[in-house]
Amino acid sequence: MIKIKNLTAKIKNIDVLKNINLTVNPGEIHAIMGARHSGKSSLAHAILGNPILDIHEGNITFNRRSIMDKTIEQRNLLGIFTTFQYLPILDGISNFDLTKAILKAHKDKRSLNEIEKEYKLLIKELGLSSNHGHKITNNETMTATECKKNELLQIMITDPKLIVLDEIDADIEEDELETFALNIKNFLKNKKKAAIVITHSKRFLDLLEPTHVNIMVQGAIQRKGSQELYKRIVEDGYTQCS
Amino acid sequence: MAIHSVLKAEKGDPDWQFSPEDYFGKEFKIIDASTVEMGEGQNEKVVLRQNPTEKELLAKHLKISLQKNSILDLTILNELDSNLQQVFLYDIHINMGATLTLGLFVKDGMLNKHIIQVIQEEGSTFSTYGLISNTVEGDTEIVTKVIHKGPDSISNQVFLGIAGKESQTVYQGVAIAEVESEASQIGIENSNLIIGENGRCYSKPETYLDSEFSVCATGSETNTINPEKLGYLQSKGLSLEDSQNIIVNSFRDQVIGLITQDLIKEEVKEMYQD
Repeated sequence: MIKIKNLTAKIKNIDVLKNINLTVNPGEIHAIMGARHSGKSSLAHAILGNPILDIHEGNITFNRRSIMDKTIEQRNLLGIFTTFQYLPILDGISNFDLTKAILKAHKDKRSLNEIEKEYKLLIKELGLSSNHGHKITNNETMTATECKKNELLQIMITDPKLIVLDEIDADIEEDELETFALNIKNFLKNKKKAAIVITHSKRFLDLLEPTHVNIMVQGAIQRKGSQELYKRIVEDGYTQCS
Repeated sequence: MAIHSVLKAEKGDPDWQFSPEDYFGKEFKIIDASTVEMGEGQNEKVVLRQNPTEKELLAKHLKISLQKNSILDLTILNELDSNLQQVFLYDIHINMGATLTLGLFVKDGMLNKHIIQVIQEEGSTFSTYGLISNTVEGDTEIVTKVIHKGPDSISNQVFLGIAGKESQTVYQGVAIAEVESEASQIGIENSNLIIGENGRCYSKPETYLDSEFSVCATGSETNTINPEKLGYLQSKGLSLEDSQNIIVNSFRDQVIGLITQDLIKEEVKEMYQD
């Protein structure tokens, strides 16, 4: 589905990604782990299409077509949904109004009634409050957990092919993490989605059960393996990879 | 007021020394004068639409007088062509126990200046809010001076500014609690969004408390469109243009949402749709 080949990128003349090779197929969940500033979020931004990255070598193909010339929104409309680590407050925009705007951009054919119906079902499924749609997106009326659940809701309602989650588990309240992770896992597995999950949390990965694990060190993928790898890394530390 | 001269005001940096006194009491050509007078205990909702077409730099004068315990909810919609210059003067007196809610939505003009002077008596309330917008390379300004003369009076001002390419907005708000106005409350809030290259938003909120037990709160901020917000919206499939529109519309809606009449709310939304 997505194939990243020999990707090398800089931000402000500093190497942030070095010769990245990664292929993610439908039904696969790839965990990306690494110490701070190891390039995990830069990888997410490269897939997102953030122009801050100066990609001077390599290629990213999605469904066998290069997406290097595609803008951020074009990549999303192709079926790549990348979540942000830090979610900006959108003053004056309610969650439901934003969702309607997103679905309009996606040329969603459902009627408003059908959208409302599904939105209500998802709110319930994710354990959000009944007035969630009226809340202002990511402002102080929403907890950090609600903000992250809102991202998941948008993923579920737009049904992308590839999901890139950049530390979506960060700031989730401890007692909510299990349900949140299982919601993600069920969605990914039931719909055979491809996913790239950036995280520092062993517990989150225990719940998510990734099919592949990639360890990044200084902008490069240093180790690839199965679930055993992240368990070992958590015990031994990232220095064992360099 | 005698007609002797034409007021001169030029586009450029605002003169922070300016105060309504520079206009009030001076002689210049008044092309229109209106009075809104509310009798004792009267309660009204009024909408005024100002769409002047005069080509000279002229001034309009609106006198608003609220008698004891009256209530007026006044919304003013003002839109000016990019080649016109106008100055609007509002001379407002709010008597004991009266309440004025003033929504002021002003858009465009080469020079579009609104000068508001308010005198508040005991127990009166003045609540004003609105939008100052210019996207036609002109200058749109709201200048207020609120004087609390009586005790227990409340004034609250909430204005947003939007400046497009090579355009300018000015919000200058002064509120004074005079010695006799004990236990008065003053609030001034101004937030601005620059949406075009070389856009400028000037802001100068000021409060002076000369009375005992009076309190005030002021706040002002000016931002450009946050690229992170744009990227966030684009990452969900929205085009750059749609993302910008969503951010600007939601910024406007913060004050448009304060309009109490739904039909007027829609009219104001349409007025700002470019």
